[in-house]
Amino acid sequence: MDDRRIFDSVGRVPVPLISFHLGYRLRLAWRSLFIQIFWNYRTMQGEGFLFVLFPFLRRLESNPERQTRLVRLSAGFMNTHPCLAPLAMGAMLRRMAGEQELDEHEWQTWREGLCGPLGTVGDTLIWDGLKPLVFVLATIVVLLLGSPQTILLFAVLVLLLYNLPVWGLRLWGVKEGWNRGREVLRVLEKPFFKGAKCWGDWIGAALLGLLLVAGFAKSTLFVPLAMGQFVFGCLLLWGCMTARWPLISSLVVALGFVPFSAWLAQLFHLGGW
Amino acid sequence: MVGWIALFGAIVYLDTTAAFQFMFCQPIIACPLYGMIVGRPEIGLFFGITFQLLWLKALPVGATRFPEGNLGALIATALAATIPPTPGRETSMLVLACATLAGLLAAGFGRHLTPTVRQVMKRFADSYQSAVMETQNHLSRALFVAALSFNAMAGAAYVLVLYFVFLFAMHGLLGVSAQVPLPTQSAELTDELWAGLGPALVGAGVGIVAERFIRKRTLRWTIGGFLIALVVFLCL
Repeated sequence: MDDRRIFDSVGRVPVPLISFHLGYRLRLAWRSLFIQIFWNYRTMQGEGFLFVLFPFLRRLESNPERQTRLVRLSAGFMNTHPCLAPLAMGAMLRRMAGEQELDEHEWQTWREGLCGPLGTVGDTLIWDGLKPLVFVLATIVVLLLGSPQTILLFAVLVLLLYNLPVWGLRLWGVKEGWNRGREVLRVLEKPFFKGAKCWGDWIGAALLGLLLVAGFAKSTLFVPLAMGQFVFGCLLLWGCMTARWPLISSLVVALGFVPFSAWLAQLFHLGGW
Repeated sequence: MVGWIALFGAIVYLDTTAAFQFMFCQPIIACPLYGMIVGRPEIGLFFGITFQLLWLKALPVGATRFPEGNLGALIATALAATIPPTPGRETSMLVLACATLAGLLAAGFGRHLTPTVRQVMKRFADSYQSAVMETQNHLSRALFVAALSFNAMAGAAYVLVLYFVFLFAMHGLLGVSAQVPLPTQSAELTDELWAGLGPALVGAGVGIVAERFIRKRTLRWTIGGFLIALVVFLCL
């Protein structure tokens, strides 16, 4: 079946998933890696969406005038989380394939309505969930087991640990977006999205406990001065972040405390507190 | 070495927000790999561990300005890896401390990098949209490649410029360079003062993670994780 027939066969009736087969999903997910390449303050990811969808629009519509209209519909303001963007893209393609006459105003309202929910869920799930979890875990592993001989293996494992779920989410997003079309946001009602933040917080909190022990074990064991510097650094940044102080200034203060505390220890002959 | 710095700068900058987002840009991945390539893996590991946790709260979300912590970590690693270790000793703690400060400052200045690049991208975006509308496929492809290259070059240029600026500053302050290590006497005097650099930075990172994850409802998970880890550690 050629590309055009795949899309033409969609019509207005529900289509089996197989018509938007894995090859297309992979291609769309791959192109979605570049949606922020044209990021700007006017349309944000708008042209990125156009970049991703354009090859599919060409297959969808051969009439130049109608193609230009679809291009116009695909561009314009858009901003969402990069990992959940395939959901929006799948849904947009489905609507463009299935609805003969799209009302431009309704389309823009619907499209912009996707930004907030998908962006918020994506930020919570990935930037504030998966990413900190994976990289806190990675730090613990490196603190305890890191050695120059294992750098390459470790890097590959961490990248796989982060990217496998993200790619799963991207491919699933294309599929779900295509299946649900206009009603794509209903997918966020799934229990997974509600439970993920809670689970992420619990796992993150438990990893923090591990990180504390790993930090002590690696850098401060049996050296009381270093232990004091570890604890001070921890409390200082915790306090500064809670008080919303600027991050860089807080870190420079923490850095300045290192020689100061060692100098004090020398001055008072504490020899390590 | 300069070529590697530029290449890593380009990849790290692209991977942070503009494209891919495979997380190769994270300090714990990029710094050790850079260290391995230039033959100083221990420096890469040091900055990978110490800088990784510091930027967990700085999210590259939407139009927010965020510190370029990944580029900062790379600059710190490149600086420390450039200066040879003091003869008979490991890399001087003073050099590591100066590189750390340079990395933090570079991350701070980096808040202006992405907004500047994004201002330029508006022109690329307008041209791209016009090219697509007029079905000028070659032009649209060329614009995409140009935008990708511009982002990559911005990262590479930023890293290279700050690398040389800070290297020059360290040469002026400490008398070190790519060929001249910190003299043994200076290293002896300062190593003890800066010995706590690693623990303090890891502690700072743990503080940032604590601010993110400690809540009333998660406190028992933290205590549980801590106790389990402590028991395992003591048993081992």
